[in-house]
Amino acid sequence: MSRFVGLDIGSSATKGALVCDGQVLRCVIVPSMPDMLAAARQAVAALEAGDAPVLTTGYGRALFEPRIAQVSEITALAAGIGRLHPEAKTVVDIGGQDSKVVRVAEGRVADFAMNDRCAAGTGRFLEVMSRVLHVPFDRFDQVAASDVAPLPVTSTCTVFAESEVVGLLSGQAPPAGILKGVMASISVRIAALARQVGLAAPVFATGGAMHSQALVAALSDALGMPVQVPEAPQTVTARGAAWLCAQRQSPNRSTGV
Amino acid sequence: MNPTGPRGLAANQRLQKTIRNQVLFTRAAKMLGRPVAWVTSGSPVEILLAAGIIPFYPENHAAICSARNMAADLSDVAEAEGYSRDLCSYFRIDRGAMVTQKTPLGRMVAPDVVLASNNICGTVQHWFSITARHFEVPFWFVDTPFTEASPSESDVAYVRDQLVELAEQAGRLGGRRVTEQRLSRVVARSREALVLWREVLATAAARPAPLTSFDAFVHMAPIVSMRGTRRAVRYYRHLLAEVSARRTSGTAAVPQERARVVWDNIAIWPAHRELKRAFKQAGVALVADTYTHAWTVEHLDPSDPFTSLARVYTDILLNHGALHRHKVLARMVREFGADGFILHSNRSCKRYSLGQLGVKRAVSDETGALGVVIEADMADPRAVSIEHLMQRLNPFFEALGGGT
Repeated sequence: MSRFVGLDIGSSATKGALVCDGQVLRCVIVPSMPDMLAAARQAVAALEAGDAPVLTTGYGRALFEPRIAQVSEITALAAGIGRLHPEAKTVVDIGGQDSKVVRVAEGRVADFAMNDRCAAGTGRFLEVMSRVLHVPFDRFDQVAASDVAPLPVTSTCTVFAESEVVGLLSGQAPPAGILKGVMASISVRIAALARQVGLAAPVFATGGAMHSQALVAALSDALGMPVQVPEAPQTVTARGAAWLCAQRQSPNRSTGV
Repeated sequence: MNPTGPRGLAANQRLQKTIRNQVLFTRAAKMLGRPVAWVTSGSPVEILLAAGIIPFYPENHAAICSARNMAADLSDVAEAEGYSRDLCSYFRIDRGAMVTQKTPLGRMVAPDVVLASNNICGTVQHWFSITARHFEVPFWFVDTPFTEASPSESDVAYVRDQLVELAEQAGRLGGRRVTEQRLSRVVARSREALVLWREVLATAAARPAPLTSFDAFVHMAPIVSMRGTRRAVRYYRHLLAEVSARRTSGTAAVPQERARVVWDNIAIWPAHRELKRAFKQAGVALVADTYTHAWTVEHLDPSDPFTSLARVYTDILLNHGALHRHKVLARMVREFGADGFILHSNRSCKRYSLGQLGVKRAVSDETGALGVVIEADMADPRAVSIEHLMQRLNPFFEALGGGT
């Protein structure tokens, strides 16, 4: 049976995808912490994949055995978006502890950039802000729907931004305005990254954070062009890994990745 | 140990011996009363050698300290004095070494004079004047005008005048007058070593490459710190013979070479071994770099030593604009048949790192090669994270067809 597993062992969530004859049968998402390896095993078990070959990606990709190969998230993301949306030219991914912009051509990486050594512009930034504001992520859109103007929040450093937000809160600033400012801040940061690789439309955005429509809107604003979100944005990389697994296991394997 | 890979260069042992001999020679010469000058890597050292002054290279010394895991402790000393961590790590290490007298070379040899030139950066001007004050010795300085590309004739004349004056001062200190004839002999030796070094580096254009920049980063030590001496010429004759034989026999520095890349900026000494191993595992050969190729200038002309020295030491990669650096890098990508290039954004070296994003785009547009920017530091391990480097290098390798 031609079943293949892609496992994206990320810093905050582990995503698994099972494909059969190119079609996605099942996707699962489990929290990675505190034990990434246990999370990876749990994800594979939940996929009910039997002894299907596994290709891993993500921060914890070297942990899981047995695997047929491991690839970087950028390669898997390009493979995933290339299969789902062959027309995509640019894909932006906000991960748990990094964010990346990849220029893609037919499922391959044409250029890429990652945020520098700082949590600003990553999912961690959103997590920290969510905690300080006492607004859980699934309420982001609801709170941001208020027509309060966004308040400026620094995009340089998560730790600085956190104390800045605490300062704003102590000055009785409305949480909705701060949250909008947070979204604008992370979007500006990512837009700068996107310009490094040369932004080309159409632009897609992936990662769990893209479940927030307000954030997608802020990102579109900062990029100055519409951003599309693929269905199930959090598992695009895992699905890409599963397709790469199939490709690598295929007897008439092409020279591709 | 890599069971599939060839042995490392036999010259590695010769290099250790050559460096050790140079250290012993410097110490002995100092004891016998010969003056020692602490100099920058871009100093017109030929003039000092002609005058009988022995040069010592703090930048080189700092790199050795970093490779021997002493960088953080020595930097701490400078930082405790109030020097910011944002300053050049070579300076902070050197400052720590001069204050504590700690060195992996056994004993520091104090300078009788200090010589710097701003052809590599503005930092050395302050660094070496601090050194001169510390040891209470004279500070000699050669001002080389920054130019977009090649220096003009008036730039060369301006620097030449300074070199003539430097020769007079050096002759007085060294006790040996710097005649054109004497200088010409040293320049000829410098030129011979530079030409040999260029030929060594050129062998990496072969497929598979018989040596990589990881080898060159290490084997550049004599061209930096011994050029102008017979020791350097002898050393590079041996090295060239070895790498030429490897090229002829098709010996690969990276077994199963699947991709070739070029490097911009100084090496990352704290991660040197790890990176070398990672490149090898990924089947990626680092075939050329702007750093070790900086010592391949050929304008040196023994028949006109002062003018040619003035030209060579002004016409230095770091003394030119980003446009020129982009051209050098693009040419290197083509000449060495590279599929990609790496820009090391070096926290310590602003002059080298400024404008790299623009350089990246320009080189990609011109050559079609994929570029990646990695952030690290040449010597300070506290600013180097292997994890972060590999997060960028792994997808880069994969996109080039290398990787696991």
